Amino acid sequence: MNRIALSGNPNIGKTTIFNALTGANQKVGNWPGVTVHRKEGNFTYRNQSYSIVDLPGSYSLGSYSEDEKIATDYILTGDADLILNVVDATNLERNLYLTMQLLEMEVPVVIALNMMDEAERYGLSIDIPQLECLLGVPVIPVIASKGKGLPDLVRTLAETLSLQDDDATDRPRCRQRRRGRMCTPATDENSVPIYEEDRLPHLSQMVVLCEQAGLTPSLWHAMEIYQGAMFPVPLEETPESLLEVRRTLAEDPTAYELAAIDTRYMRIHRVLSKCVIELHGRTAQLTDKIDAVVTHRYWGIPIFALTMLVVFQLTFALGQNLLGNTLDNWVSSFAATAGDALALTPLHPLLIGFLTDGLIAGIGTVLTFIPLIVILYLLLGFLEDIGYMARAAYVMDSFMRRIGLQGKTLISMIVGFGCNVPGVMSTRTLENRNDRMIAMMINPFMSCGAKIPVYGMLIGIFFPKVAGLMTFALYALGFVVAIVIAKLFSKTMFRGDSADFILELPPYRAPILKNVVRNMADNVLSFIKRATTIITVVIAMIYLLSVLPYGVEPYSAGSYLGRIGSFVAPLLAPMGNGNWQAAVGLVAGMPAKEGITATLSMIYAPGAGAGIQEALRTAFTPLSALSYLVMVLLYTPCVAVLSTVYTETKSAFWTIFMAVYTMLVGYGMAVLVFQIGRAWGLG
Amino acid sequence: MIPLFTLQPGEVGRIERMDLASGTKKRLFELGLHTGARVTMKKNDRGPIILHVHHATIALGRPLCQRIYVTRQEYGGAV
Repeated sequence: MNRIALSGNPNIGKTTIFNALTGANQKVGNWPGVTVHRKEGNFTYRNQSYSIVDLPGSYSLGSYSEDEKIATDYILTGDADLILNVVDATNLERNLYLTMQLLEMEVPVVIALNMMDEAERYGLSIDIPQLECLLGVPVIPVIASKGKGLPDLVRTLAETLSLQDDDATDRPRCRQRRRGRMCTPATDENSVPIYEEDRLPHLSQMVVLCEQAGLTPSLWHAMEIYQGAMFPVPLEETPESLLEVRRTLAEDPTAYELAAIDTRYMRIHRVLSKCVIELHGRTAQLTDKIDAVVTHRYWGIPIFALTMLVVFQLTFALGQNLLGNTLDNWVSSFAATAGDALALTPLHPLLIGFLTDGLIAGIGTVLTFIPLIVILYLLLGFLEDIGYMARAAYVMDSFMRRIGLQGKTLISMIVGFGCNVPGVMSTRTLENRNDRMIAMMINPFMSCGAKIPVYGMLIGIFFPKVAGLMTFALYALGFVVAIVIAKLFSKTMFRGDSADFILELPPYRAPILKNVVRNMADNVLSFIKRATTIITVVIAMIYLLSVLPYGVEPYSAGSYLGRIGSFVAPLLAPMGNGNWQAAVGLVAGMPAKEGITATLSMIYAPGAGAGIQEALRTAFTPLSALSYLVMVLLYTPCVAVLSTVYTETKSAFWTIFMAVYTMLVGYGMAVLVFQIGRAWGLG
Repeated sequence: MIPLFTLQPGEVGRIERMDLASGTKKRLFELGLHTGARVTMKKNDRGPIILHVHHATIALGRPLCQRIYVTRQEYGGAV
């Protein structure tokens, strides 16, 4: 089966093309050795099936960042038979930079020229046959969001691959003959980009040297040497003409780095001057108008806060009150029926207890919060897809900078709202180590999806009238704590200049519903997966502990579980949660946060369909519920996050440090909330 | 030559020099901010500046803009 790799700048519709080509056929896999997700899928054309791999988006190839390195290594190993290079037609100058590098690598390339509609609106007229000629590869105009041009793209991919099988050596000329297109390029402008030598002295000798040394693709390796890579031969074998270059590089490995980049841009400029005409100036007026408001120097931050508040209000109004309660009723009535039915079976009472209390009541309760999660991620995905989240990072930057963080940290924090595992991984985009460590350490304070059931449950019972506001307040508290701790770290452990702020603001686009839904589905599916795997194990253990030693009354203080909880409970008394059940809930949240909701439901209200709300109402006061929520918000993240921190830092110290300090912060804040509240005469 | 941050919104400049660390410069080069590129200032009040280059919108921190030098251009529209 032929294998196609997708490559291109971030945010130019790569994933849209991937999804359009593969349909529902995609799966999520892991890069060997690295925990960055890559997508892989299949499509069929004329009874031939093709596999397609989505490489991480990057502006260039090389080894500058982790993502770049992954894509580069993948392309160089030759695993892919063809690279589908997605290019933004509105910004050819920059997008073709990556294309130049692909051409240097001498891999077969097909270019999908995306966003042709936007380019037209900007008044850009692109002579596509001429562009094909100059680059020596097929260029297919597409509008991926509308599915336009995709059939043509698929046909070209198939054709290029079959031609390649026929005649591997004479590919570009072959293709041109077939398409019957005439072009009149200068003689030096064949399929491989030929660069001018005025900035890179003796480039052609360097290419020859690489070829002789067995380094192929030779142009790519030659360019790498100018950018500081090792010289391929010992000094005595270096040709005379290259000795000077070698000496310069030995003194300063970065001496030609920018010249190499410049050389590529010069070639791009030459190409574009022959095939792109700008009919009138850019007219992205809508984006400019919206930006004038949402990035305003005073309104920017209030608008962001208001947007998030609306998100949480809507989440509760739609997800909890409208859909959640309906689902809750279904689960309760199912639990009651199932409980009655199970009681009639000859199963052991302990097993029946596990099924009704643990699985149905415990995990069932967790699952009733799915609508909440669905709505929240739909809304966050919507904001991201239209391009607002980049603006949020922008408006927060000057604020974040004052406290020793950069606006980009906010992006990893927003990712943390979904799950702290990708949140921690996304700190990779921070190039400065200190920035990155701080961003990683504070990420767990960003409330993840697995904690939502606890909020939904306790807020729904104790603060139903202000549910959206309360949730917003919790998220905001997590944010404030993160900021304060970050400030502290930047003054103590991770001192130093923070890196420069460089961020692209994508143009606003109508959201692509499919993408938003797919993203949400990913989050919800992983939530369900955890609920049915790791949470089931946790619940089984908690259940066993609560009915043992044999003969003890289940869920009583005399059970092993009760004894463990009673041992921890006094510690929690200062935060108003001195009962053993609450303590057990927190312990059960260590492996995964859904464990808290499942465990509380099981031990407070054993028995299918029993009234969890009444039980919680007697066990907590509004104030102790609040301090418990604060604790859940802030305390030690789940095992998955800790192990991610370990793989990212390769340091047991920082992993343990994170586990311990977050516990102390959570506990401290919960005690503070409870004690202040009590001093005011609440609770 | 004037520092980038002295351009007023709406003004166009041509990048002439960047006194930056090579890693930072590389990042900017890849985003299309290379010497010779024409940039249009979009926002320059508080916080990072926003500019247009090759139909893309890029936000840059202020300290960075003090070390990027441009010459002011008459607006011509071309790339």
